[in-house]
Amino acid sequence: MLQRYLTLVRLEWRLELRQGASLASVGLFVIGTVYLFSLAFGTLEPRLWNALFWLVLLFSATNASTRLFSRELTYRYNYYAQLASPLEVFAAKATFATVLLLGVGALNWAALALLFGNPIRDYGLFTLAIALGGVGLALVLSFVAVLTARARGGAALTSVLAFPLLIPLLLTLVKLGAVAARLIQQTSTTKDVLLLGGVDLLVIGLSILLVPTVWKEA
Amino acid sequence: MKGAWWKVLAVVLMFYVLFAGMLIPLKSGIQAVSPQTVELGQPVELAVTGYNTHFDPARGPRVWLKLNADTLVGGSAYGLAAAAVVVDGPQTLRATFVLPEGLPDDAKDYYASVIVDNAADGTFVMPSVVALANGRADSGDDAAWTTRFDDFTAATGMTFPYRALLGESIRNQYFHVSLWFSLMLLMLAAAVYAGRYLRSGDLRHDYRSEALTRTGLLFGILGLVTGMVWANYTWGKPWSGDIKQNMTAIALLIYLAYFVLRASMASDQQARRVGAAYNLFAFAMLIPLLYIIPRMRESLHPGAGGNPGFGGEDLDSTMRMVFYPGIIGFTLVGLWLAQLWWRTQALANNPRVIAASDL
Repeated sequence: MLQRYLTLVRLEWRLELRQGASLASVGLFVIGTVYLFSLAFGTLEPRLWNALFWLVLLFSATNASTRLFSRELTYRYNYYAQLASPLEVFAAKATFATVLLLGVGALNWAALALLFGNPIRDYGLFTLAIALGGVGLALVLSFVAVLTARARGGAALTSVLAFPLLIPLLLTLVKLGAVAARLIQQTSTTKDVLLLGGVDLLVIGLSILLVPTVWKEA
Repeated sequence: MKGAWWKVLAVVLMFYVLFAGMLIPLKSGIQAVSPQTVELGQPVELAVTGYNTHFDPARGPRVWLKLNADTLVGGSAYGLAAAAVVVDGPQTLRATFVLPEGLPDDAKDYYASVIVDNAADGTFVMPSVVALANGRADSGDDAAWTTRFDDFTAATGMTFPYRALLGESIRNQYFHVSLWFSLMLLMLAAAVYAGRYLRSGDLRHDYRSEALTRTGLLFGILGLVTGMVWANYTWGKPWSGDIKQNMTAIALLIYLAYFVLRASMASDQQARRVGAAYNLFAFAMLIPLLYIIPRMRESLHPGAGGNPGFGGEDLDSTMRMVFYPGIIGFTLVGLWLAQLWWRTQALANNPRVIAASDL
């Protein structure tokens, strides 16, 4: 099972590299958006910097995840269905989405820091927030992408379903970002980190439980 | 009629909650005291406005000032009985106090509570309402301040607590809070049926799950609206962006998305399976949304951000006698509503799959 999972992750990675355009489009989206901010705002105060950071991450994640499952459900789906279990395919894709999102987070941070300066003081906490948030965003969006893959109006539906689910996650992330930038003094940082970790674990558990049943072809 | 006992119970409970919750009067209390700052060493006349009171000169209302943060020891505490009380009406009286020149040496602060006792309404207090100003230090007035508080009259009859901030709106507890409790139970039932549908593929479970979610959503909207009405009177405006209000709005969006998802699936079979999976997912996300995050933030609601939870004078035993039946009553009405909904849906769409005996 682990073997098949790793093979699938590698396959996913190779497919992305081969269609270089799609990886590049994610990167271009981040850089383009941040550059647009710099043209529109000129300078950014730390509070806004923090909010925009997480918004860019959210929209990149939405873009990436809708693409992730859309091509599977056509001709290649039947082939996969015979080789690996739904959960293995889902885990591989969610892993890939997570890695992609961590990359987007780093790029986003670098781009914003380059154009607006870096207000983050607590690097460890901010990195932890990106890691936990990246896992949460990638998992929730992948799960929702599985649900909406066969529905009419895919991408729009993904936002409708996923954004309310992601708001608690994003609120916590924005708060942790503000703490990392020393905008607010907060004593309950540990609780927030635990909440993020708890939500991540919850989503992992639910995915294991629900993905196999949803995946079945009607 | 066999098997319908719980519907009868639902009707009885709802009528009981409606009548008991709306008709049982509030305890007597003090609405206002003026002036709120008095000078020590001078006689002062305090005008007291009562709520639900029956002041009557013949029944001799008695009025005290009691220094704040001083507990009664053997019926005595630092305080002052009124020298004269003039009753202007059933809701208004004036009490004259002759204040000593200074506070007792070990007084803890400069505030006094007003206590009113009369034979018709019992005893009631407005805490820390009068500030005592311009006291002379070391005046040796300890003896003048030592007063006996006794012969209090106990109020009779069933009443709900009088809270100065809440007033009559305290009755909303039976509707707003009961609705939220039953909403959680309905959504839990919806999630359980969603899980059972995924395991068994039995259509009836899906119809039940969807109907329960629909009812839960209706209760959520009602809970939000009753909350906004309450907030309008106690917090000053219907929507103040309180964390629980925001999280609730998000929770409703999540469940609205459930119906959008079901409606946009190409086949019924897919709509059912995907809908059931999302329903379980949504319920799991509801727990952090409504119960964990609000507790970690500042909130105007009780039980969060340092505010006390239910209990004490906000929910006494009289209120519990209406509040708990309210939860059961609303839940049963919700189940009834859901049952009607799923039966009509099932009959309209799959009359052959679901036999009449299964309904």
